[in-house]
Amino acid sequence: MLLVFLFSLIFTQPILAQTIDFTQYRNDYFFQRDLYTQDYITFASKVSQNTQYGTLVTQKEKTDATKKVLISRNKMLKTYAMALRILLDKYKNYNSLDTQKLQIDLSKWENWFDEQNTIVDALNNDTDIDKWTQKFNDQYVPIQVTFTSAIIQQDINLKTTILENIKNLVTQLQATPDVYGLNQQWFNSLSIKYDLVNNNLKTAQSFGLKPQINNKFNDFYPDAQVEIGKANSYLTNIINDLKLIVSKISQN
Amino acid sequence: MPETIQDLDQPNTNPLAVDLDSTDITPAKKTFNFPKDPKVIVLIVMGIIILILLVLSLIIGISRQPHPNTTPPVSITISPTLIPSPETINVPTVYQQQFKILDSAIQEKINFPLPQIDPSVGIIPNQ
Repeated sequence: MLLVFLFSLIFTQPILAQTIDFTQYRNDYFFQRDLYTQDYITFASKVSQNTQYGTLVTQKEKTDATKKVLISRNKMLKTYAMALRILLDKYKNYNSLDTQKLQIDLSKWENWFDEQNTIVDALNNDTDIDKWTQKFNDQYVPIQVTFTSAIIQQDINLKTTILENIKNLVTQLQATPDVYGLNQQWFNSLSIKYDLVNNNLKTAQSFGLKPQINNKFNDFYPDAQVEIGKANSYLTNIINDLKLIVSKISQN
Repeated sequence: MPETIQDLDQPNTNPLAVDLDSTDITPAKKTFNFPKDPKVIVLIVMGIIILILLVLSLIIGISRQPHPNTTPPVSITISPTLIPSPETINVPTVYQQQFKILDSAIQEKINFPLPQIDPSVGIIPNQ
């Protein structure tokens, strides 16, 4: 038996990690979003009917529609968090600590949305629903901060990956005496450009760490995009300069 | 002269008593008289020219149609990421793949906006 077990260990193929496709998770989110939209329309209709007629039946239908739309909204938000968590896997190699922290936060919110659906399902009157909604709205501020920070981190990870690829290419070119000799001054200036890129990316990341004022979500994504845009410009310039330098190799 | 008795009740359609049953009647020859009016001649000539042009256009149109046995032209569709920038074309082959990866990464954009929700759902109004 021991020999058989050892034999199976040696000769079995390793189980390959499943390639997790962000597209599939994004499509799940879009599906839930559509369901939420439909439930919201139904909810609005029931609210209108209850306002018009005010009967016990319309009141109950409104309460049921409210619960249903809240549950489908939580499901939509959960699938969004899942898709973001998967998206962050793509370029996290060079910023793994910051990325993993965000992925842990997203996973925490996914579980939280599931818990809230259990609570909402048990609610049976408008007063309790109102109390729950107010708590949810307070909690939704840090959720939005996590979501926005994750999108920004994904952008930062992508630019960092580009920067590292550029550095690898530069290292190859610097090993070529003809290339380095003719462009020594440019190569020597690269470290300053790398620092500029990294500073822009750090500034973009720092926006997510600022406290939210008055418990309202202040969208910091546009400010972060400005910094990431600057980093992108520096990277584009470096790539274009490298192309010119490398093109001259074939001409000489 | 023999007396011809005329039946007065019958219409007098043949007063000269000509034998209408005779087969010696020869039909009048039909002659085509070419119009001598110059305007008519011009119109006829123009009509002939137009007719000739029409026939020629039909013949030319048929001859320009593609032969059914020829293969259709191959259409090449190039995705934007594969179209190299002018600089990349001049890059030596050994480095082209690396620059293609860099170009593709620089253009990559993440389009995954936050979900839009209505925070007032569930709130009792005017509390």
